[in-house]
Amino acid sequence: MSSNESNASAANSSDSEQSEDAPIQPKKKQRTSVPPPLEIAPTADAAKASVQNQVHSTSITGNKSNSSGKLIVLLDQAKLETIKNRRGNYELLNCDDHRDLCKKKLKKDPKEFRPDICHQELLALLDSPLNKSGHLQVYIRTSRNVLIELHPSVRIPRTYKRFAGLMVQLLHKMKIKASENGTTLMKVIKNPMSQHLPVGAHVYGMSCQGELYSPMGLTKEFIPLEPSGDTVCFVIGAMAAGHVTVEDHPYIEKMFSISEYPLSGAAAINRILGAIEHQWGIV
Amino acid sequence: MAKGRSKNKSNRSTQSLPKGIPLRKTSTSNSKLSSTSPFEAGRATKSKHQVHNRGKPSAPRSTQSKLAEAISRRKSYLSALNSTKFKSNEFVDRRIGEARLEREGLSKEDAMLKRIVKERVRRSSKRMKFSLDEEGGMGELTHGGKTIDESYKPNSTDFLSDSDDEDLNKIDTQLHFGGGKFDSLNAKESGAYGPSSGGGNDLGTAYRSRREELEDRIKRKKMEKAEKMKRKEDQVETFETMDESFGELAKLLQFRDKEQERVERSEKKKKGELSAEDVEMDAWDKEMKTYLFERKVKATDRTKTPEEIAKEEADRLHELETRRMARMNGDFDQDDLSDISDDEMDGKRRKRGKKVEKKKSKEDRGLNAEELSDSDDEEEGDDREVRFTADGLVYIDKDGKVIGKVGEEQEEAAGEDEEGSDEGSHSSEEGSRDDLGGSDDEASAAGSEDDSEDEAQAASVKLTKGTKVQGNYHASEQYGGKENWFSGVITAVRTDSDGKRVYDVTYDDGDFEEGMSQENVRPLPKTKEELEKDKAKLSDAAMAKRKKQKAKMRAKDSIPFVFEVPTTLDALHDMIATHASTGADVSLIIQRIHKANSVRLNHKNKERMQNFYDVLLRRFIAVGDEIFISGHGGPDLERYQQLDALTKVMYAMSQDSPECAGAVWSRRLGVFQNAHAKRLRDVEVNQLGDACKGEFSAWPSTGMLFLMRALPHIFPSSDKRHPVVTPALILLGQILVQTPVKSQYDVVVGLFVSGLMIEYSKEAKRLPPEATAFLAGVLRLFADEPDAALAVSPLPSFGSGNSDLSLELRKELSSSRAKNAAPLSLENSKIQGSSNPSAMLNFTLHLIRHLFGIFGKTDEGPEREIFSEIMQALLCIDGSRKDLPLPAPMKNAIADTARIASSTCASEGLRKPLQRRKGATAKDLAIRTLAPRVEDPDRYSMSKDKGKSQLQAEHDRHRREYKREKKAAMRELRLDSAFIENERRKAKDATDSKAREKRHKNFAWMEMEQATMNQQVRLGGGLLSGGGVGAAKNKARSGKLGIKKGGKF
Repeated sequence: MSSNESNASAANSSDSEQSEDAPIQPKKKQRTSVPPPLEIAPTADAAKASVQNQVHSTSITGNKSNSSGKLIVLLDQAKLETIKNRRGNYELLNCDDHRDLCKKKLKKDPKEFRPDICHQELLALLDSPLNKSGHLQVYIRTSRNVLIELHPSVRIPRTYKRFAGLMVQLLHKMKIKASENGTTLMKVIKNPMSQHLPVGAHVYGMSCQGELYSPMGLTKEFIPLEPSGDTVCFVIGAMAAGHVTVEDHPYIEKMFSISEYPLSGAAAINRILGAIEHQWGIV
Repeated sequence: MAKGRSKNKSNRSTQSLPKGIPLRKTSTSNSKLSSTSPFEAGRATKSKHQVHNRGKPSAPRSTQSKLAEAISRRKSYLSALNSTKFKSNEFVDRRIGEARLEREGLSKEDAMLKRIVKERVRRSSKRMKFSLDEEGGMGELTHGGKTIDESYKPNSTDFLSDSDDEDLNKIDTQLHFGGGKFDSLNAKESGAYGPSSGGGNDLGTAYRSRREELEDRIKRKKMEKAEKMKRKEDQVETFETMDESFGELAKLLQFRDKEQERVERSEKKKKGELSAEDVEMDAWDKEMKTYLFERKVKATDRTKTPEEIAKEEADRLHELETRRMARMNGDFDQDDLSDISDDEMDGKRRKRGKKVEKKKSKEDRGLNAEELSDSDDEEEGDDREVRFTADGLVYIDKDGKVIGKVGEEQEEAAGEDEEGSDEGSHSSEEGSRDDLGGSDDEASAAGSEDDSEDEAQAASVKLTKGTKVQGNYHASEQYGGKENWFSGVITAVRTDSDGKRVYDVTYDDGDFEEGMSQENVRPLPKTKEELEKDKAKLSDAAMAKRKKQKAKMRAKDSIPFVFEVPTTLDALHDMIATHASTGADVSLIIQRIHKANSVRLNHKNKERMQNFYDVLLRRFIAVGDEIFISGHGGPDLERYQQLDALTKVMYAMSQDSPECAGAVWSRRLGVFQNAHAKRLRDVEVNQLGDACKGEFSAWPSTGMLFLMRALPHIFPSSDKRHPVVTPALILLGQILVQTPVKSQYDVVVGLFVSGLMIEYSKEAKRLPPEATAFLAGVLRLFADEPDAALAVSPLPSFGSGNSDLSLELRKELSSSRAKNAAPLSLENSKIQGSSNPSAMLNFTLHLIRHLFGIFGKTDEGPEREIFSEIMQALLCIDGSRKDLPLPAPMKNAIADTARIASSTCASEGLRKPLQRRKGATAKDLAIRTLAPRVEDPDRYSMSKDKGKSQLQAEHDRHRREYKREKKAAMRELRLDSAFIENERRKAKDATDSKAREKRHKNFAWMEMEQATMNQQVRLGGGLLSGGGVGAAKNKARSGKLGIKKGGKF
């Protein structure tokens, strides 16, 4: 089970790599700690206003042109399915609450139904500095082939229960809006995923069977030095067992792993995003 | 198990349904077997959300597709209905088993069996079991439904007795009439099919009940009728009573008296006691009436474009000019002389007569008449030349020196030669009127002229005895120039001791006055008849001749209407010197130059007009400079009016071609700046002094300042950036800040410049800091302790070196005793005057108050900073110096200003120091997190009506259902009609095919016959004629009959 759970990857995350990183980081810090000249830097208010405008203007689907300079992450095969319980409420099917139901009615292995993996990964993605700086675009594709686009501003509920409620609502309503204003935060969009990738995007799959890279090595090899370079998309699994397959995503160029050990999805995401933030100087 | 059943069902459905109807996919196992259309499958399995464990909303009861179901349903119902469509009645076979015999092919035996079963069931004891009849018990023996025992009872009717006849009769009777005992007996008997079949009641009771019922009904009807009648009567009665009472009621009613009301109202109105509403209504009525009588105006033509206006104006001028030229040359062919009126004639003639005399004298001197006519003033002296310079007309001697001014001399000469100057002004007046062009105006003006002329002439006319006159009654006794003119007749003419003529006048009212001097007697103006008589005397030809003469003279005198464009200042001055005698003339000439050569007329004029624009600027400067030197220049020159006129022309030209004007102005501003820079450099060499005394001053000339004043009238000063105004403003600021202040002239000019800057920037609410600083500096000049005050002056030009000036100013100020401060003037004489310091201070305070008005009173605005210098400077003048006290009005003005200042710029506490703006941090730039709108999962429902009120939800649900139902009904109807049509076609096909078959049969038979016939014909033998086809037929027709040679036979 434990080995199955690690959907993504492995790598020789050796200590030597870490020690190499250490001297580099202070330099970057020095560079960024110098305040930018007054003429260039927008004021705090202006910046806030611009951020606000961004939130208002770019609808969740409208920012396709804006997606260059962004890292795209697709969480594949997320087990997000709804079920109607005895009291008539709709719930997100999960192995803990619906064990008997799975066995008896659906005649399936309850171990498959792990929406919490998706929850953890989403938290890892959307709470990352990379996302806060506006360089991340997240998509989810469920095992039932429902494709979901997430706005970078979305605040994923911290508790599983609330997350489950949100997901049920999303799967029924196809769209989730922000409580403050009318911004669409999550939306069910049309398949296939390749339609939503920008032209010339490089798509890589993550699997423990792929080629082994260290996170830093990976970013050096595949991620452009500046965010404005070619768009890169990672396909990361959000399922309990199995792999991201090229059959599902024929546009995947390469499969790789980032650790020798089986890692949980959230851990793998943290490693990759950390390396990319390092490369792009996002502290 | 389930599989098997479903399989069966599907098999059955496929059999029973017509071909081509899709079947529902029942399970995955047999999906290969059933041919499914993807559309149908999609519709059948469609669900929006995949939810586990959700009961399917409509579990399919049949495995048929909905379409198949619908078709079968129609088959069973609609087709049956269709078959009986046009039948009025329907035979329903109720025979047991018979209907099914036909329908389901039941066998005869089965049908009979069914019948027997039915019969048995009906007679079965089960029904008897629950019969309430006690006698019909279970244990009794029966025969034919009757108890056997009863039939053998002795008192029962003996059917088996011998006396048949009697019995039969009896029974007959019983049967026919019934009743009595027989009935009661009969009641116990059951019908042929059992006890219940005959019913329990006898005929008697039935008859009785029926009769009672009928009677009852009749009774009820009668009662109803009676009631109705009664009600009607009652109603009639009530109506009558009500009619009677209405009369009484009507008396009580009152109708208002409208006439009375109106009278009361008018009375009230007179007294002014109307209520507010009535007053309002009155006002409304009045307004409506005014609208009713308002003049209705027709729409005018469209507004003319500037080009058209310019063209019209130019055309008019050209026409006038051609006429003028023609008149000058004595060509009156196309001239109606309408602008020269008859009334004018006398006075003009006299005037012109004088001119002619003058001209004669000129001619005597041997000069050309044409030349002489150019200028009236030239006659004054040959050695002097008249030139119109910036300061008006001047005499210039042969060396080119200015000897004197025309205007001044004229004033001097006014006493001697009043008439002459009068005439001059008249002629100029006429000239100016000419360009206005209205001949009517001219006539009236000329008329008034004539009157005055007549009066003037009156003195010289010698009156004779018997002339009707007006006498100034007792003129010597009247005071204050009061005159009483009465009409009378001269009775005697004498000569008094001084040799003057004296008249005795008898007034019309009978009064008599002796010895009236000539100025107190004037002949009565000729009456109309007399005038007409006079006119009649003059022949038409003579009139015309005189007219022409006059027109020619006037044409020579008047200013030309069309000018060439002068491209240099000298050319312009030449032109002015030639044609103009006053400032108004100059303005007129310049206007005409512009009008006749406007860029709007012809874009080729652009270059020339641009040059002319520059010329105008330079002339403006020249005139302005002259104002400084010699002031306004009297009524002839009127330099300020000249400047006004120039500004108007410049504005019009700027409107004509703004880019040209902008270019000229820019160049001029550049010249100004260079000049100013040069003057500042010259400060090193030259000693600064008072410009009023002809010494060197670095401040610009008044002409330039006036030009700068005109600038915001020509171009908009409120633009954020303007190619002309913005540089001008900067130049003014530079002048104000950099130029050293040495004399009163400098201060005056500086004040003027700061006033200009305020004027430039007030529209756009822009701050002129140079102006505020200069004003503060000027205030410091008036300080009580100039050394201390000037030490901290805001501008370097007000250094401590100015203390002499300051002291001088204070002295002059304290010595002035004028109540009201004189206005500040840029004229030399006034700057040197003693009231100048007070005017300066007053103007400074005025400007400061003006600034307060513009920039004061903002919410936490910058006025504190703007006015801080001025506030400090104001505090320096406190009137503490006893030896040089401030005059009272000045003190008041300063106090007023200080009060305004304190009210506008007062502040509580210190202002927060300004801080450097912070750059946005990464945190500020970060993408905002937005919490999603989540609903409570416990109460979450997929219902469409979620979140609506109960009423609304119900309403919506109903609407949805209605929609769905409507759709369904429409679909059903559509399918129905399709089905019926299908059936109809089928039926038609069936009948048609029957007919066709028959026809085919007949054809086949006929063909067969024909074939046989043909065969026979072909065989030959000549026995048969006709028939055959093709060659055989031809052959038969040709008559070559006979057995074919070489034939079969």
